Amino acid sequence: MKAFELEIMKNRMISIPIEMGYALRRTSFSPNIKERMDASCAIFDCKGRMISCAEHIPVHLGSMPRVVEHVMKECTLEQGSQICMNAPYLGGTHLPDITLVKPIFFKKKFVGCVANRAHHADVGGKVPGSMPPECREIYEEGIIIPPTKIEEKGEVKREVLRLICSNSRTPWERFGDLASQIAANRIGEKRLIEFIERYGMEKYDEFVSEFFSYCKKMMKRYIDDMPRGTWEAEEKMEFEDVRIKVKIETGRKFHVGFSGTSPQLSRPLNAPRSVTESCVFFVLRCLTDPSIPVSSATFEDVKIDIPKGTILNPEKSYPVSAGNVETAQRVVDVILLALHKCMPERVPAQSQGTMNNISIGGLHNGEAFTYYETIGGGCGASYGKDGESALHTYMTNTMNTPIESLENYYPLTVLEYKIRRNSGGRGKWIGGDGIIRRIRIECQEAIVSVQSERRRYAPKGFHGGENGKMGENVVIINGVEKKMDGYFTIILNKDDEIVVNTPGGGGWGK
Amino acid sequence: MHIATDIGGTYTDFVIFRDGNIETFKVLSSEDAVRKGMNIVGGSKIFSHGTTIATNTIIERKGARVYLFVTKGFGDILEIQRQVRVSVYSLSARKVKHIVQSENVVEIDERMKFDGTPYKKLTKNECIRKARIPKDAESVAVVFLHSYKNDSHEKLMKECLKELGIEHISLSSEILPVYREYERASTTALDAYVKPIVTKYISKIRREINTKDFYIMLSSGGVADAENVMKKPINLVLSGPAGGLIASKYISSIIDEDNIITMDMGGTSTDIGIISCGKIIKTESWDISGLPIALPSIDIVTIGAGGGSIIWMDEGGALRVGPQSAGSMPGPACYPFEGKEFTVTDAILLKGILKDGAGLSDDIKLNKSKCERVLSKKIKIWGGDAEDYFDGGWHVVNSNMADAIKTQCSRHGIDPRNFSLLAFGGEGPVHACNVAMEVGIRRVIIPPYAGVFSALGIAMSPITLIDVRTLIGEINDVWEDVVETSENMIERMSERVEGLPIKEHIFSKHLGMRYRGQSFEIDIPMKASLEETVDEFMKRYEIMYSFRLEDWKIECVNIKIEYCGIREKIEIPKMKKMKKVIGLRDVIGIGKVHVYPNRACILCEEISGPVILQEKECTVFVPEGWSMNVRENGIIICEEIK
Repeated sequence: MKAFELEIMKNRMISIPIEMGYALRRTSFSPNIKERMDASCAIFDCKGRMISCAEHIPVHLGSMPRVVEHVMKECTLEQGSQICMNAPYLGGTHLPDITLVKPIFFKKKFVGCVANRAHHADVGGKVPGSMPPECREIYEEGIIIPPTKIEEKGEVKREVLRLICSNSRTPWERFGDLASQIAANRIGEKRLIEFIERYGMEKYDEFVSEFFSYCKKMMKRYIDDMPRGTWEAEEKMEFEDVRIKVKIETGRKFHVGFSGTSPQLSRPLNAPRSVTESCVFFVLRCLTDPSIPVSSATFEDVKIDIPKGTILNPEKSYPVSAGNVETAQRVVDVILLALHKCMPERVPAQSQGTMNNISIGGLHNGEAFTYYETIGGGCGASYGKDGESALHTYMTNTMNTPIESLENYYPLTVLEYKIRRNSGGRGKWIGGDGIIRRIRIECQEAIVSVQSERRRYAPKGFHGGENGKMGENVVIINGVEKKMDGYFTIILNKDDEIVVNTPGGGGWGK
Repeated sequence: MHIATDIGGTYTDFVIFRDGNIETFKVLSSEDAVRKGMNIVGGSKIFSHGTTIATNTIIERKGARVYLFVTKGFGDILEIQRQVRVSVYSLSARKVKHIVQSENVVEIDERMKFDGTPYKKLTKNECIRKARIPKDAESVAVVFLHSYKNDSHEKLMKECLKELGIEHISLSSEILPVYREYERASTTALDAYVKPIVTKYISKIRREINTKDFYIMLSSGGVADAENVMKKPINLVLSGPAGGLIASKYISSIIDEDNIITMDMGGTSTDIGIISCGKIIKTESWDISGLPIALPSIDIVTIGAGGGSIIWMDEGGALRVGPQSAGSMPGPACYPFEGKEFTVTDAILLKGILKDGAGLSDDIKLNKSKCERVLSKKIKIWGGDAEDYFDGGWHVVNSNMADAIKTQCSRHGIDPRNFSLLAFGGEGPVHACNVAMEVGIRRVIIPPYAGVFSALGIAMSPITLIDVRTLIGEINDVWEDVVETSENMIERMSERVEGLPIKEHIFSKHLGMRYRGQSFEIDIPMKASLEETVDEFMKRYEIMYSFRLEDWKIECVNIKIEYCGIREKIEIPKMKKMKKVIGLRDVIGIGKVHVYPNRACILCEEISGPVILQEKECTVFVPEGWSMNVRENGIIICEEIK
């Protein structure tokens, strides 16, 4: 294949999932999909290998291929059908992320799949939003969908759609989101068939194999360049002192093992295997060239071992809703800690390492409300560069809720939203500062729940750089300040306040 | 007489409409360009102007020293931004620094609630005390929370600042009275940043042109008189590309073609815009070098593909084009400068579509042997044949533009195959038919005056004003308020255009509406009654999302009034047929191809491709399987032969 043909076909193939994503975003309902693009689209070849994907949220990186792998194993693939699923133990991330897979046929021959995944605002379970901080089993987190046909012979299966929608607090919104997911896959199908018609089946096959070796080659250069050795690190989480341990071997392959990590928990902090893999891929993309296209071949030289039954590869019934929130951040931290001596000039000091999840719920004028948000913090400094302040880091990149929007919808007043000055670790290059967010309750009673890390162990500075400041959670009840832990739930009354001070990033060098 | 000018990086274009005729000329861009041009023209006139002054001020960070006055507790608003990073895959991302220095932020002890009642009242004392702080301010931006609901605190602040002699003050409640504080603060700060510079610039031009009928092109695709522009100069930011889209819309109306994709390709980049059902597609969330401006603007997507885009081989063995560009200096290898990179223009020259020795201007003549030398050096590293690179590069750049068009269309839910492609800019017409083929478009339009196309559009633009106000509430509850507010808005707008020479006034009212619980609103034309408006919402909603919700609460989010004032109509005159001259050229991969020196010599004829039309301003390439037809007003229509 000529160099220019590879380029043209590669660009077209990369833009198909982007087009699918636009279609999804334009017609969906959930703010997560529309405003934050918490969704991904991808194309797979007939062996289930991912050819191209547009992932806007890093946590989807590793999990789409796993889903398609299970769908191809468990379902009969028919023309005009789509299969939906969200089961975390079959490649999902957490229950609100629903994936739809559509097998594609060209002249009656199976040529591959298109798939898209979107974060739905509510899939049932014990609390609105389906991410209950206090639960012991996955069944409390919402409906579990194993691979199930949602479309057959070109017709949407109403009863399946109704079954899913009926399990949500906002059924019409689910209906709208699923309809737009179905439509996005149809667009993907159309584009893939146009692609094959344009170039012919033989050329398509030739392209796929050339493109895979292209992706592999692009990533391999970086893996080959890494100093060879074995790099280990271990860190604790603040919830029951969960331990995450990693051992990375660099060489011809990039080998990551998580032996020694704590066993799974009856708390939603378990991260499904695909989330953990996504963390590894995320770090690799950041440390290499993020413009390298992502396909199954890109990470072919990366081997990941995660012992079953650990918090990073839990069994079926364990809750997982927060695994891609706090646990995922810590996995990235541990990998950076392990690699900082391997590639000192490439690996930055640790960032805030948490998402500072805060949710406030209650009754106001007879109507129930739930406000949920994550808060940014300091970024770690790196060689030659200070860390940025007040930013979302690692596995998340969601926008803040505008204060003027928040106050229009919830009985809350934001009194302060500022940078927490001097919270970044000092060093030759200084870590970024965290954020101060102070919220006053304006209704009779509200349940405030916070899940946050780095309140007992600070983000680390590297090579002599100082640690970033730890985060702090404070409630003010009747004018009296009270310092809280990283994880807590409390009832506050009118005029009480909650203050979240988020961690700073670590410094780099003396 | 009506004169329109458009100031570009290299040239300032002039278009003169006199007694039904059009004259055009260019002068080199400089501080003096407008005065020089006007000296050439002379006489009394209407003057319409497109300028990049606001854009360049922001891009080059050369604006005024701005102080930001903001509600206590929120002084870091421009530093925090939306707490997100531009590239997700980065561990050491940096935000774009906003234009206010952190030491120039002044927090004011005041606070409004969301419903417009004061939470903490602003005292005159606090105002005076804080207004004294900025000794060296050149401009001030005032952004208080919920000021879109109650602007009294911002107004009081302005009074005190005025009393202390500060001339340029931008209030967020005047610039963008819409909720979402960061976007409002950013827009207001940028307005303050460009205000002193734009004011000075407009006063200078006004002295030079010596006319009262002075209009300036806005980002929204209309013009405004100088007085209104100086009140809100942030509206100028996309002035240039807006002109091209207006002219495209005009062309679309005379050839009866409602659906058009525009492709403006220059030396470093290509701008893509869409006209759908006769309307230019607009957006209200865009940014300039990373800083958001939440005002209505034409929706243009820019990709890094132009004549100067560099063709290179990556480590994986794919032939890439751009986004790096050789620019105009040193430019492509075939330019008479020290260009060491092989670019798109070089590829087209080697392919034979452009002519060796052709002159772009008096200084620049294309030199084929120079770019052959550059390419043969590259081949030593890359391997393969020369044809792989010039022919390959040509295919890659065309397919890159086709991909960009396809994705831009899917963002708006449009199938481009039902559209025509209108190409202008120095490099657009040479690629147009090949790009169209890749997209599946069967019709290409090359307008006359393609080299001064923006200036043409600037003269044709109506006078437009847009006003938006946030008003959140269930539609049944707020309807009376909506009616009253919209009437007040229209009244105030009418005052603003009083005395201008306008043939026809058109006001249109829109409401941003959504089902309760959704975070995105859709624009609905406001009807006479509540029932009709709700009906219209349900109808449009169903079209967009393919279902409707009965008994669900419907919310109003904002009111938008658009004003459009039609000025004197301008028409493109007919062309005179000239004597036919035909040349012949070898194009590699195609064979011998006819070449015409101008469109006037093939007026009203149908010519089959492959054919080249080589004019001074641009080259048109029509491939095999396509026909070319020059209409009597000089519009070229190329169509795929069925």
